Amino acid sequence: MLLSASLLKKTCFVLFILALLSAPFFIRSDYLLTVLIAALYGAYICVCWNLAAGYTGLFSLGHQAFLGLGAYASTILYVKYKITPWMGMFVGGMIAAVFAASITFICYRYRVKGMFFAVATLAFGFLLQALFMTWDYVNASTGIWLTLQNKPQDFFFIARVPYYWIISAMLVISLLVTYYLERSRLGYYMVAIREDEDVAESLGVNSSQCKVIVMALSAFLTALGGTFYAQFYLYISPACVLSIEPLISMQVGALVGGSGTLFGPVIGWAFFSFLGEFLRGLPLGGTAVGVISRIIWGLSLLIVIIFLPTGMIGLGRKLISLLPFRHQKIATQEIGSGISPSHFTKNEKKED
Amino acid sequence: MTTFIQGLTTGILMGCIYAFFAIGFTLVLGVMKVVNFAHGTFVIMGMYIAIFIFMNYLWDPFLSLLIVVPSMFVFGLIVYYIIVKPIREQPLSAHVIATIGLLIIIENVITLIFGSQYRTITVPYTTSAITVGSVRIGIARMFAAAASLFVVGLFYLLLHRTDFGRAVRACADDIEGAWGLGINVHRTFLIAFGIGSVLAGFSGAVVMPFAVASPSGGLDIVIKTFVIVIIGGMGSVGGALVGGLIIGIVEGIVSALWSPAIAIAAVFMILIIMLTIKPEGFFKKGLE
Amino acid sequence: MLLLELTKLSKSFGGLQAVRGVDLKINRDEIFGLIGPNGSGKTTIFNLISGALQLTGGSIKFKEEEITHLKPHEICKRGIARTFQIARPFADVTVRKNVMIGALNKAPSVSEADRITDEVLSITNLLDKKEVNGKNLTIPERRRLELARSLATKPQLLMLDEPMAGLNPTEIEEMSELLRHIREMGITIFIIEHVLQAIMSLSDRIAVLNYGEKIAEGTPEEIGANHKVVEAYLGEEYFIAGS
Repeated sequence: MLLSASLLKKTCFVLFILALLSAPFFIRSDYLLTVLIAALYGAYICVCWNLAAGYTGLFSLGHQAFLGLGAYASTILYVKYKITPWMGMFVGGMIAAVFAASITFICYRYRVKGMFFAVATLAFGFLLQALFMTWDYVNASTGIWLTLQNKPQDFFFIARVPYYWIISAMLVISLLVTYYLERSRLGYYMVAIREDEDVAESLGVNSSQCKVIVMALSAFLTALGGTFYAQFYLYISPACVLSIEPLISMQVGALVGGSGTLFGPVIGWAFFSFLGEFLRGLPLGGTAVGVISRIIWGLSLLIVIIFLPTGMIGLGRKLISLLPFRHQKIATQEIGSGISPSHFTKNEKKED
Repeated sequence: MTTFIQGLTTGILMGCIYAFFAIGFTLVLGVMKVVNFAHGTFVIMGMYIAIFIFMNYLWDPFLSLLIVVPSMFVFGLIVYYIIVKPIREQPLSAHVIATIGLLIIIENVITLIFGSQYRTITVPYTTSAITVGSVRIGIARMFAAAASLFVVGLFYLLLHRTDFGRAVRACADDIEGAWGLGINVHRTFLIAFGIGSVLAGFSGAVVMPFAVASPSGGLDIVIKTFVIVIIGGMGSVGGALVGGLIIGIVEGIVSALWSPAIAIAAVFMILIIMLTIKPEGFFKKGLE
Repeated sequence: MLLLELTKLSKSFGGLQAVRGVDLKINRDEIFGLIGPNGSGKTTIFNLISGALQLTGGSIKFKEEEITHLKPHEICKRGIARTFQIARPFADVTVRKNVMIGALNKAPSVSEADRITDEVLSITNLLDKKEVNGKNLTIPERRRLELARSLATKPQLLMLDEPMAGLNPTEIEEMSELLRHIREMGITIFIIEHVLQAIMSLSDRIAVLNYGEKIAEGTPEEIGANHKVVEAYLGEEYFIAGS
């Protein structure tokens, strides 16, 4: 049998969807279901971040801002104006997309590229967090509580299973978006921009337009995740949805799993979130449990990134290429390598 | 008006201290092009070593530097071998993940040993201050600022008047060229990282007489450091000083006149402005 | 027929005048060579034409239209493609994808781009390397990839910056054959080269640059016999064999 990369992807996709469809029938415990939902949510935001950073090289260190914008937009619209979060979700998405497009455009206009773009997004993220922490309209740093109730038309469920279906759908949709983008004109251009923007431009790629579109798309999807977070956890605050914590999660999943790949973020996040859960459940003695498990978590992060620079997908590909049966074009497929810090000190174009 | 001057004065003192926080980071970034997100946590380590020594021997933090300096140096060497060396040539994403992993480990080890509550050191001069006009200047803060300026100056001399400094600057400029000059680049990187770690720990220890330490403070410090380094220019000592002072003064004045939260916003506004008009920072190629 | 016209083209970097008032006309179906000592401004001229750099004086017309202030991707869309002095393949991307990105310039769909990619890869003899990553290619293969990628954009003017650099005599001959074939496909070639043997035999006309100024222009024979050229390039006592 001839094994090709796209056949492998499609097979994994189908298996993944089957697994998602069947899980609720095997998992009865609400606790386990909650863990699974949290993991799927984490994977979802990793996939969203990966679109911008992994595929296009837009190393956004402020993506949590879009998460927060989504969460706050839908929550405020519901709490103050009784607008259902199903609609508020998309309003939040649009707001995030507009912010993302603006930042990307401004950075293009002022030639803030690569490393510096990363720093600009970092600044934006912190700025937004600082703003929300002092803005009384959104209840500043206290945050906003939502009531646990059963109101499906307003995105509230008492049972956990509906949330499971919603986040599964969102994850599958985001993966489909990634999959079709990979094969589209924009997808090819995204990779070109990531690899070498100047060369891409000389080949007819309108890089500023592509970057704006990708950032806006990624921000929109991330914001939808923010609304889900609000409706599931029923509490939002600048410390939850606008802090560096969610950003670190986004990056861990994508970078450790394999940036610029379809399933990389999912696998990366699955590994680390289940590792986290596993460690939490270990009998490591008293109050030190949380701390020790975090140490092991951090250690695992280090080990994975040092020994697996191409991420888990990269490792998977190498392993597959060692298999005895016929395969083609798997090991060679690219893992987005991202930007190099030496761009930091050499911002000027090299003149001849 | 007095609030303004109070804010300004505190700001200048803190600016010197921030610059001190930043030089270790800018050294590592400039020389080996590694972004160490755990740098702020190295500063915290210095604080906690001082705390530990104070708790057990009641030594003044300045005295405990005798322990802080060598231990941070050794620590830096170890971290270089285990983490920095493998990821040095990898893209930024690897630096981010690896140093954040390190940050998480250190933070939690500190929490394990010391607990997560805030800790302070109280020495005789902790609450003393001199009063000039209506402005109150803390003695402890002054000592820290003075120490900062002293070490920053010393470091500048190290970079520009010693052979090692020249090796560092050569590597920062052009690694291939440095090899060609017979400089052992790997050894230079190793020692430079050790020094960077020492500078971080040192700066943490000298602020302990007045500062409040918590295991999770590292991220805030490194973010502020990042801003300073962008403003001042990567790899530049003078730039770190200028950047530190700018941030310190803006923070001091805005905090005094409005609030600390607005001060954070102001700092990031400055960053955004800098990125658009002069991303390389004030000292482009660096004094380094 | 006039394809590209440079009028009083100038570029200065601060105090340094890299290009001074260069006038040049390139006709359709020509192979036009540009030679000159290192640092004479040749690549800078390419950068100015392709839009990578903004000029400080003069104008550039392509197919009778001003393209002076257009952005690089717009210029590519108009029909000018270029390669780089140091080959810059997309490193972590397969040869096929590299060329696809170029092909998408004019191709209306991904499948059409696929077809163009295969065509171009067979012309440049890279079909068997289709699934190899850019960074794993040898130097001659990288040069052919640069060429393939630019060809895939379906240009009318192809600007090549030292395509023969690093090639051995056999490879140089192969490359020259390839370039002649490309010209027969209806593509005008503007080529910078230091391998004088090759460029003299390939080009219909040659311009010579020194310190940013055009010091000579004409057929290869005329250039070979031109004293100023010989002086600038080789020093006064030298003569090109056969002149």
